[in-house]
Amino acid sequence: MVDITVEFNSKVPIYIQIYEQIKDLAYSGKLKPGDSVPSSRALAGLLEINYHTVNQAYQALWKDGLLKMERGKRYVIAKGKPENEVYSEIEEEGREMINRALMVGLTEDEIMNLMKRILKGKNGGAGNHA
Amino acid sequence: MLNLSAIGLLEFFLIFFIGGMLILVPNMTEKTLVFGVRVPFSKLGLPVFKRVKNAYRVLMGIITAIVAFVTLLIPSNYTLLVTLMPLIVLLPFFIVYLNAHYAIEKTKSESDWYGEIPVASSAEVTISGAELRIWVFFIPAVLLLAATFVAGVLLYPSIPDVFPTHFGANGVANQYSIKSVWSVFSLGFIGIVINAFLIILTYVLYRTPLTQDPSLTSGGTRRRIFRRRFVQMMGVILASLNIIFLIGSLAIWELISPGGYLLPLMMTPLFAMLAVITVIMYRTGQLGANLRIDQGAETQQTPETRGTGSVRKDDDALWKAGIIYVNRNDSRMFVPKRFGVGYTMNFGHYGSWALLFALVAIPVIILAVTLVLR
Repeated sequence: MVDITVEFNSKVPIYIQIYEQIKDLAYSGKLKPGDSVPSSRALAGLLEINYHTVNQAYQALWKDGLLKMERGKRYVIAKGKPENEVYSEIEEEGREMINRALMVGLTEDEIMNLMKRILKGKNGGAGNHA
Repeated sequence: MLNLSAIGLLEFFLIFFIGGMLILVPNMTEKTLVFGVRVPFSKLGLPVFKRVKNAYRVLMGIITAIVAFVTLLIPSNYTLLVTLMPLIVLLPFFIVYLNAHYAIEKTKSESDWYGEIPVASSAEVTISGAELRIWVFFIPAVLLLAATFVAGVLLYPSIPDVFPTHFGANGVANQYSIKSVWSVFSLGFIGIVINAFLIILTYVLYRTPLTQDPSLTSGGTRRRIFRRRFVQMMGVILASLNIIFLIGSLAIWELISPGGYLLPLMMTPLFAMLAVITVIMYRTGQLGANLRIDQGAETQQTPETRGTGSVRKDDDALWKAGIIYVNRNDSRMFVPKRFGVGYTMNFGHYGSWALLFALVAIPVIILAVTLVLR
């Protein structure tokens, strides 16, 4: 399901709500690079809002490189999540995991072995529980 | 004395069918639409809705019974009047609907239902279930139409130079045509036009983006199943029409001569189709409203306990009498009905007027041409 919802009673301006949701759809992979988004008129009609508002969101997404113009008339998703952002997210998750491992009393070597085993299991197909 | 004619009986059942269907409609709409009026989810339990719904059902039932029996009493020589009865009956039905619609609207205008509830609007960016192969659902229909042409080609040499092309209600031929490819395959050619039109229409409706009341659960799943069932329904409708074209063709080629049973024979697929699509519609509901998904979540009556806590922005202003959609800002030509299952036209869209004009103009032009050629 790929929906966009705008909240009229929210303090967040509607164009930012649209901006954030399209960004999330692109980053989560629900919209893939090259997928087209509805025209601003069409989306405005569906959401019962002014089409300048949608345009404003699309312009901002275009400026930030999340949307690109195809054949000079319709916007398509330009890219998914940027690699450096994915990297720092994984780093963050890894740090949390290692902290937890240290807290339950695992040694550095044990953590390294665990990591190696997980990686091996991934490459070797069926899980390795040895 | 009752003067029963085959056509009178058929119309009798048809009127009961239409009336019964309309009695069921309030149970098939989107959950937050009551007789074409948008109601916030938390107000759906108000007693006024039950009262208006019951009154609607009783009135609709009485009118259906009266009109159906009046149709039986019409003398059989008023064939045109009998034939038009299912259309004439729509007027009292419409008045009963309006009565309910304005009762709800009046209650709404007297109370501040949307006072403290946050509103939102939600729409599809991509079509839920866009991966469906629609043409698969039309294979039976297309095979039936192809069978008509195959049968026609095989029978062509044995069809006499002058053959019957129209039968009265008693099954006796009352019109003849001179043999030609056009006259022999007339029903088949009409079939091709209708098939092409309905299949294209199905594709357009399938690709139409939908909006969603954010207070209702599992919208995406409901829409995906609704879309598939809708295509299924169109496949059933087209298949039954093509069976009728096949039977009609076999009758004019005199391969079958059912006599007085011709009309009932042709009406059977029609009634079977109506029964099948009623069941599909009722079980699915508009936009999947009646699908049994997330029932636990559905029973939680306060919007505060669901996802965003917002209800759909009131869109009553875009609908005349709750059923006629006029919105210039909506680029869709077709939108889901408010009172019923399926789609209706956007009369704020030029395409809708063009389509209406074409649907009226084409039969008129064909009629004019045939009259001139005579």
